[in-house]
Amino acid sequence: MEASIEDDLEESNNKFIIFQLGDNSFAAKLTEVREVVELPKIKQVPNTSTSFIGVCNLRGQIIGVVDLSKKLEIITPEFERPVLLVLDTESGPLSCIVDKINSVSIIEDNQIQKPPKAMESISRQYIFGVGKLNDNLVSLIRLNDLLSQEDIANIQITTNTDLKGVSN
Amino acid sequence: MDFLLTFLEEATEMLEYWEASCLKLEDSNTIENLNDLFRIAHNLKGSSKSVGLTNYSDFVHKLEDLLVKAKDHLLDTSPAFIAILLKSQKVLVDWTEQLFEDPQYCPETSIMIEKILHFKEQSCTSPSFGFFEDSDHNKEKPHPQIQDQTPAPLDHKNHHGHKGNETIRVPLGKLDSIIRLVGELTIQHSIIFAAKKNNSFTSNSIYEAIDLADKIINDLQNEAMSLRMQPLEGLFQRLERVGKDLGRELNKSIKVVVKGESVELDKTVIDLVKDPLIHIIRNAIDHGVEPPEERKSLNKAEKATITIEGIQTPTNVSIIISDDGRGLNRDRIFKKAVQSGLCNEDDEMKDKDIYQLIFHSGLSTAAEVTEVSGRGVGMDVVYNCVSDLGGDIEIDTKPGHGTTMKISLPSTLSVLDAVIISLNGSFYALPLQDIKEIVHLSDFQIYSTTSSHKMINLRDNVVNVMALSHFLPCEEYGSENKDNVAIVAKHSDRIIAFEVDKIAGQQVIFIHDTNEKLTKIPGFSGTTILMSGEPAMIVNLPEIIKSYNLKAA
Repeated sequence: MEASIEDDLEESNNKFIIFQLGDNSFAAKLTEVREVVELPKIKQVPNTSTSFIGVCNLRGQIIGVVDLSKKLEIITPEFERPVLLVLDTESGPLSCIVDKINSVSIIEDNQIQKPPKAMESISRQYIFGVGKLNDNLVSLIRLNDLLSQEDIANIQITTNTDLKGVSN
Repeated sequence: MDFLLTFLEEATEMLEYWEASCLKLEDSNTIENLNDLFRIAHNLKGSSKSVGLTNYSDFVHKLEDLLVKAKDHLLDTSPAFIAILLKSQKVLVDWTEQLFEDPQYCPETSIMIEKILHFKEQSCTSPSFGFFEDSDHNKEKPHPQIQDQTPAPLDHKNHHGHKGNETIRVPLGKLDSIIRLVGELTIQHSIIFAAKKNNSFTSNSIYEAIDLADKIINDLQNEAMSLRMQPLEGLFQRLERVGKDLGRELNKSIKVVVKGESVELDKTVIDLVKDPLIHIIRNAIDHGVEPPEERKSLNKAEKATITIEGIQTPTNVSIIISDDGRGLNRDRIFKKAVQSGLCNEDDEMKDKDIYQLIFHSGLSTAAEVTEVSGRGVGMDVVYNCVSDLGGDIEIDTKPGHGTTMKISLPSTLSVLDAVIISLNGSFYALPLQDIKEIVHLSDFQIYSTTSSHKMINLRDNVVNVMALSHFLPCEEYGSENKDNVAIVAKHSDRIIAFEVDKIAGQQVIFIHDTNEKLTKIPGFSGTTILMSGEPAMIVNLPEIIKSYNLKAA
């Protein structure tokens, strides 16, 4: 059976990259992800939010790394084979750490349902559905939106020193 | 399509020359200046016709006729004449810009053409005929122009406009130099590569080749960086034009003195700083400069002088704009600031600090908000724009004598001399231009008032000593040997010595294009990659001192 061009185009809209965060499986549209790389050395940065892990050097480009579990407020155990998903967001490239990549799969529209009402409101902003894949349920997530919302910076510079009654 | 694009770029340039020639003509009414103008109009007419822009060409043709008449001494080159030429230039500049987006664009030019023809029909004896007497027409034309000049340009992010494929003029010599260097580098490369193939890394020739390659790469880097540098001349010309136009519109007599226009600055910095500077000039003329009668009554020269000066220092470029007008009113600013809640009635503030208050939004002391400026949203945008570029603004003013604004800017956006320090096991880059000096704390006696407040006496200045790690908190990675050094930095009169663990060295760093959000983290201005390949944050010392000021005050 020959696949026509139209078929291919339709398919790519339903191609997802399936990854794990602990026991949770997620699916992000393949077109959102620029690349997947081995976890490089990440450098911590002061004055950043708790969900921001640090920066890394990816082939000469400096990319910020977000902790997806913290962002989604999921508690996960130590990652087994962590991997970096790099995305191009509006403000520039940004990446997130995930536990492992399971596969790249097609999830047809008829296998996708709306997310359950019981879901946390935060997650609901970015989880746009629940998909069925080989007897497993995966949460469909809008990664680009999630990362674009990441504020990174942590309030104003605060100093801990006691400055009462001193002027210079 | 290519022809059109080439024409549009050329036209943009020609229109710039036109403007310069008009300004020159205004200062010195010579036949050479007139000829220059005629030549430009003639060229513009011809080339626009050849790419099919008939309406455009016709418009220029009318101007050419006007110039022919002037050349033949049949017209007086009065201020009204100059005004009409400059107004036409503006029409053409806008027209050209629009054509970049929409090749079919054609504005409504009949009013303008009528004016030009009307002017041309007059003989040389009535200098202010036509243009200024048509008071109705006059009223409606200037105001729309003012309106579209104020709010939009102050959005400094809006600098890309239409020119997706921006071009830049580069001296041929620089290009040739770079081509030559690349050629030499290729030769050294083949020597090194051959050695790799033959696995012979120990011969003399390869060591020589590596050394030579190193030197060539250094030269290449310098030449490449200098490609983006442009003289301030173009920018200053634009400012002069704005100043004179406004002076004419407000009936104030203005003289513009331009100095140091050959100083060079990165093209992007020039593009981004243009609008803030325009705003400053408009402010100076609108609020600072008094009307001619008032100046006469104060025994000042009737023509107000606006000075625009460019100065080059080792680390940056300063642009100074000064006027000999009224100067800033300290008390009025203070009162307005108290009203807006920026400070308290009984705050003791130095004059300098009071003047800096005008950079807060919502603080306009202009008695009436004019169409031109004084909306109270201008100066803060100016300040933000300049500080986003890594620069600074200082104000100096003398009531009755005038105001001077000094804007200092980094020469290039992409490369910085930095001192690398280590703090809690991490490396950070500190721009050299922010550092006054580096001291060994062990050379000083440390005075402390409380356990956390330390000071040293640095050449008779009492300087606060603070740990940089207080501002950049991070997990401690074991206390390795700390060298007990401090970086002394100064920002608007406050000097602080920041204690760091070690000075790791000095290196030239490239400011990498990266996610915008990474440049907004408190205490940092951006990111870079060190020689080791490690990513590092670039520390923003002035910002840190400023926040310390706010807390301590």
